[in-house]
Amino acid sequence: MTPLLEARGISVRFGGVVAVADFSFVVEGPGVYGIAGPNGSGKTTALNVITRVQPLQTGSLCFGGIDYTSWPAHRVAALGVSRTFQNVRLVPTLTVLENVMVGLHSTSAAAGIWGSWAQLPSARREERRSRERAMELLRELEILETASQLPSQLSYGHQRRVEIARAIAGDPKLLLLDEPTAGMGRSDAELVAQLVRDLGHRRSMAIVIVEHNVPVLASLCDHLVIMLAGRNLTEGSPAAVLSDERVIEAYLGTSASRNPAKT
Amino acid sequence: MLVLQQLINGLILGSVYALFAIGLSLVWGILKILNMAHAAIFTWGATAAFFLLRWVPLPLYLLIPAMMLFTGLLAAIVDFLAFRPVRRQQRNPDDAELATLVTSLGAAAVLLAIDVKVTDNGAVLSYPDALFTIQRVTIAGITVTNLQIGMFVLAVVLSLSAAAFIKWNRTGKAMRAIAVNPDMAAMLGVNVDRLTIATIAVGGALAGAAGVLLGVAFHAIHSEMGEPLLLKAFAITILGSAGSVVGALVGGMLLGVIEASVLTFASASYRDAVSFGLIVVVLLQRPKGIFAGATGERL
Amino acid sequence: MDNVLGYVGLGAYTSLVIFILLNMMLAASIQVVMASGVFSMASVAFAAIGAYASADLTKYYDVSLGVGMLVAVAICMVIAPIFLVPAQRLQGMYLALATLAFVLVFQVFALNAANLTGGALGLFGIPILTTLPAVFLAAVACAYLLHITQSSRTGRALRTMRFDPQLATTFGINLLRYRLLVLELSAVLGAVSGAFTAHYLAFISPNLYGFGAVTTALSMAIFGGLHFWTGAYLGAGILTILPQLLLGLAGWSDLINGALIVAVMVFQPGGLLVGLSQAARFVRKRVPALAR
Repeated sequence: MTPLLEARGISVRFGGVVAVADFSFVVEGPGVYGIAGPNGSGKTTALNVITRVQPLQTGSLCFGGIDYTSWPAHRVAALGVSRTFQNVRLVPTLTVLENVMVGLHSTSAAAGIWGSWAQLPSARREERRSRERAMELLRELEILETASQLPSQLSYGHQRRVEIARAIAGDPKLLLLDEPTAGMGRSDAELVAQLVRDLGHRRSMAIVIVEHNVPVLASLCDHLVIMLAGRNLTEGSPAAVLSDERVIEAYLGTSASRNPAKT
Repeated sequence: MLVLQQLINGLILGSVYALFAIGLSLVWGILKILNMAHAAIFTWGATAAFFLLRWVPLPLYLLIPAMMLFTGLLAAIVDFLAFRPVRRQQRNPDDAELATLVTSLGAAAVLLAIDVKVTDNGAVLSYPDALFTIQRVTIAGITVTNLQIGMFVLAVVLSLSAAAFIKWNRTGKAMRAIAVNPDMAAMLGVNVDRLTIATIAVGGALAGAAGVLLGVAFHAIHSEMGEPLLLKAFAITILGSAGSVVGALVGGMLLGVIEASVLTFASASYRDAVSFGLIVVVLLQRPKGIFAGATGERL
Repeated sequence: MDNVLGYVGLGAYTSLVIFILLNMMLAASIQVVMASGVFSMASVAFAAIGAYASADLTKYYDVSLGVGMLVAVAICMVIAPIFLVPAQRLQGMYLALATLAFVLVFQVFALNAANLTGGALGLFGIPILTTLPAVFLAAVACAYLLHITQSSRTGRALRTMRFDPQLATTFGINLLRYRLLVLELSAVLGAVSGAFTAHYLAFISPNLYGFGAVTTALSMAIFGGLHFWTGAYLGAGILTILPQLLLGLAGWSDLINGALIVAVMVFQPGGLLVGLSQAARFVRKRVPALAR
């Protein structure tokens, strides 16, 4: 069966700095995948490459068998790929509801601007449907009451939920979450983890989480990839990966430095 | 020979353009402020000199420093009243840049409107002839006036002094630090506000000098004399890299020479369009200009 | 565009209303691009081209205003995509600068191409074909177009583009296409405003379309608020009436505009619209009876 996402041999350099080198990542199908690694290991850059926001020097990208390596960034959404960002990027001049509706942009292209200008019934129907769908999502994420508020009026946790609502609005096949628990305390992070678990169950979506928070990854992921200095270090089930010496060394230092008394 | 004469004229005129442009370039490169009011300050310098001469018949070598003081102060006031509050308001640096640009347009309009009223609705005035007597000198078939020599020398000296200051003086180095990263500079103890005003004041002072010089050179001052210069200053700044004093000097001279060529070989009326052509070409080909990285900041 | 009222005589409400409507469209021409993150000042150039092109046609070729305007709009719509190149490459301020340079260069062109534009003396004897109903209809039609554009799916896309172009592409928003859309709208609005103006004043000259015009148009758009087209219309209305209300200040309108720009940027950069909505929210909080 064709894998959903195949990123192979990705390399990115910024001037003299190599951010990602010969990185490969495969998403077979629905499930929860994780990409972890110490700071600066190139995780977010890898995400940016997959969404074509960051150009790559070498490598190939395939989605459902379609080679999209040289596609412009705005065509990726139509494939069924969606993402969230490290810092919450909600448009401050749009209401919560409107922000979520932006997530439906690539799925509602039927009428176009001419249709809107002519106020064609199809255009108005589409607008209504988008609105209803967005409301539905807000209800699902339990933030319906914030619909007509501006993002600045919401708590950080709620803003994150709006962002997730926006990301799943278009029913993506692949959802990329960039540090979804960033800046959160333990209980909030738990809530997000629960949310992701629910999402994975209710829709047949492949979810890729880029994270620092190892416990969260361990509990959520079916498959975990560890990056170090822009390269693949190892991958496999969380249990296997997290007990790998090399991974422990990457995060915590060598055995000698961890147990100075023993040497 | 005529061609060479024109080119020399262009070179010299260009050096005064450069004097005007340095103020714009420094403020843009270091402080990320595109000061549209720069031309208005230039015009005020020229106009104020006219009125000062009516009271006190100063010789030229005293008039220029006096005007530099005046326009420097004026520029500082504009920054304090208009630019600084806007800088405080905007968090995002890109928004702040645009907001300051828009504000400077407003400040320019205010200054120009006052200048128009003061000069009797934009009448053309000229300095008393007694201010400067033009003498001609001919060397190897090229004729230059003592005014041209003076302008050129003054422009080069002032420019190079400014450049040396920024490169070697501690305050100048602090300015460069601000150009790279204002927040970091502030954390390192640089008084960003004070240096900002100082930089703008210096730019304004140089513009005032240029104002008087051009007022004498063209034997006319009027409210609209600054406008065509502003476009030239943009071209010079973009060509010579924002923030580089030497770049502005070289860019100015280059522009002067190119304009002189256009004048000689093509039509005089399209001289002003040279600047636009330069802007377009440079922005599309090498947006950072010739002296990129002069102050270490991004474009 | 400041002392234009001197040409047709003060006091007649008709001309005041016509000028308000013309300014509304010009201000909207700037608003529509700036609200989408395309900091183009080219609107003034579009107005100039619209004015000169339509005036040449009606004066020398005896066409109707409708035809003249159509041709002028077409010319501007053909030129508009040129600005896509700098729009894709240059960041905000540099784009503003490049478009400003374009405005100034057209001014130089207008000053020199005497056979087309009458040169520095300007173009005289343009037939007066502008009527209040025509301008009113045009302004309403433009408002309709703008309203739909800015409050639909397209409007959300434009605002997302303004906030963060990279984010916009993530959701499938084609930056090039939307930038072209707003540039074309800007061209149409500018050209229409310019054409009507030329055929009302009966005379146009290059100095109507330079720095002063840019400052005026910008001040109207910013004063009202750049977020939505209503801001441009509101700002234009107020700033056109203001010098008239404060009698004897008509000659000072440049200074007033400039001072207002500074004041707005310092105290309420969001413009009148933001100020009004903040006030509305404030009132609603203090007066519970009004909160629905």
